[in-house]
Amino acid sequence: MRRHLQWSIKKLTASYADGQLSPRRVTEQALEDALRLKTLNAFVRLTPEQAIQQAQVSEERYQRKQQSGSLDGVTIAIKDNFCTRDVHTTCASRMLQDFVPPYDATVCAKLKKAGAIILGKTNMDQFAMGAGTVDSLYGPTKNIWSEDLDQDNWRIAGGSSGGSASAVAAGLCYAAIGSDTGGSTRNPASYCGVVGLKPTYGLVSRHGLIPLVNSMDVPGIFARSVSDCVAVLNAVAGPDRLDSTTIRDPFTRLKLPEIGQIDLSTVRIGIPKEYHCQGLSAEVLETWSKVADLLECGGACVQQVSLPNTAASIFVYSILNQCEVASNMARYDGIEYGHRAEDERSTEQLYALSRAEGFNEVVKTRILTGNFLLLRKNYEHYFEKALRVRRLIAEDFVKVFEASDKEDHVDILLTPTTLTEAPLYKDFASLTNRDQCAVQDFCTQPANMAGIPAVSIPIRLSQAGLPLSLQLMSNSLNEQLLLTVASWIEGQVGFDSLENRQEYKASL
Amino acid sequence: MLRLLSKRLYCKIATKANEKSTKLDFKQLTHPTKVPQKPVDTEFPDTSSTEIEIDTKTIQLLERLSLVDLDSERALETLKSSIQFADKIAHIDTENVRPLYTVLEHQQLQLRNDQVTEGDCRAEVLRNAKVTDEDYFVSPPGNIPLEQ
Repeated sequence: MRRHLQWSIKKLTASYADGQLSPRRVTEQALEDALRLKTLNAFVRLTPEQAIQQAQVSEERYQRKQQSGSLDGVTIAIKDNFCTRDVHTTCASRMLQDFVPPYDATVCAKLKKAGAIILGKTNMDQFAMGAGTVDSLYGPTKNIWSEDLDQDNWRIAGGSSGGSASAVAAGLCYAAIGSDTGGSTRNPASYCGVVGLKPTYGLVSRHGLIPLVNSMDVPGIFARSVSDCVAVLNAVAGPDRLDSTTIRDPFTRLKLPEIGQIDLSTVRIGIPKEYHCQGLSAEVLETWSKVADLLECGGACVQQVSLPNTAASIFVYSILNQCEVASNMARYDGIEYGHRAEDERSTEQLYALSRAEGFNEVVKTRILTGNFLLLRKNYEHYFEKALRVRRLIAEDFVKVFEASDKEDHVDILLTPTTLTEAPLYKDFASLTNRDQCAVQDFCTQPANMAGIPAVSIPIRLSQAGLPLSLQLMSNSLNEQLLLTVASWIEGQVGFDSLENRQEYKASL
Repeated sequence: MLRLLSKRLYCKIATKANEKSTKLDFKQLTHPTKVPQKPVDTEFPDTSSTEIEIDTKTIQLLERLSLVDLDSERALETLKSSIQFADKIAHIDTENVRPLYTVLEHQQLQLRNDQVTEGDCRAEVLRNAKVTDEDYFVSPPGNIPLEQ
């Protein structure tokens, strides 16, 4: 066990500064660990040469006492749908298997500028279409908390950013970047027992994030503590001239109060009753009830609220997702980049065969369905209708967050993240992709509909020894309060993201 | 006063959390819970029995638009069930509700001047293409309809 893995980013960088630890050594160990834990399939590609080189430079900066930022020398992994200059970026799809971007996504560029060391690219569902990291060209990612990693008894990591969640949970890096369109960061964070943040839409640049659903996609952050998550957010957030959908107001870095200084007496917590849906496990319900109780004991005002349109959200999400996918996937034709089939009869024939060979069945069906829903005769009935219901869903949130009557107003919503602990791979794989997503995204995708920030935090272990997590949501750009309350809860429950990994301990 | 006391108590626990000395009892609640203990049922019409008719002409149109084959019975079944799934919101009253295209509809988003700001990157632009000829992308003959 590497003792420094238990440390916060702050403590890690402090120990670099006083010479106790070296970025190069930490990076080398992380790369060794990643190889040892190859069975998790968290990474689709490690970039050891670049990482060691970045670590070397970081080390020299520390020796000169000229650290470049709060993440200098901190090891980070990036989901494989973020463009990385001169490093393959595949979206875990045959379509982009050979794609090597000539530029960095803004998130990656900002991380590098802050001194972070990028270890490699992490596994995901093909083009981020999934909730399990089981539909990847490179095979499924396993959950480090599984009772058994070898037999077919292992648990899924969740998805679609399962590789990033798994890497952080296994201690292979201090933080990781994922993306979140309907819960793709929070869902695997919940299953893997790490913190997963979906920031406000437009707070973090999407430039270089290969698009799935433009109106909902946001870069997400994984870390083992709320404060580490804040450190990464502070490095990557803010307006970007390369993404016209970033919010133009300058970003003020978050600074969370010490846990002992947090005053909950002015905080109003809402429990949206519709989030207790069919299929919620008894253990998650118990966890939800207990944390609501803890908050009340801590002085917060806790009340039940209603978001009546929430239950429709999963259907609306499915429609909008497929429509935007149909449009976004039109770019893959095999000519300028991406998989090119061997068919030179005609342009259309080449496009069709390249796409047939490059996309998996999930991607193809979503494209076909999206185009059906967008047909001239269906456009209004499905697409526009979904956008109208989307407004109703978003307005539900506005009503509770901006209620003029103080009694009706809440600052934070507390809900489950996922309905259960991480399912067994064999159970999960027996469902269709749509059913997987419809069940697993129930509590997470409404936040994407409204563009509001949401965070999943691990609370405790289930009977089976698997993490159980809850979600907090708040009004747009209210990350400061959202993460303050998250860190208060974190302090109460004392969950250790690195605990209980027999496989891991045995192998080191 | 009571509230003040309990707050202080919890601050104490909070500072100790790292030592893992506190073991929370998840069965024990201090206040009447605000979390609904029974699932809140929401009524959505069962659309699974709605007959979805997709004629051959529509299928061919979809294939042309998508440039993806709808080649199996299973793919067609998935398409049909996705449409049934989408039909579940048909009954929701959206009279006088405008479509929400972007959550940033009230924000002034950045526009840029229509000026070239990058360039001199021909090699980089071309390097991901599988087939190039001198400085061109290469594609087979166009204007030939897709064989169906």
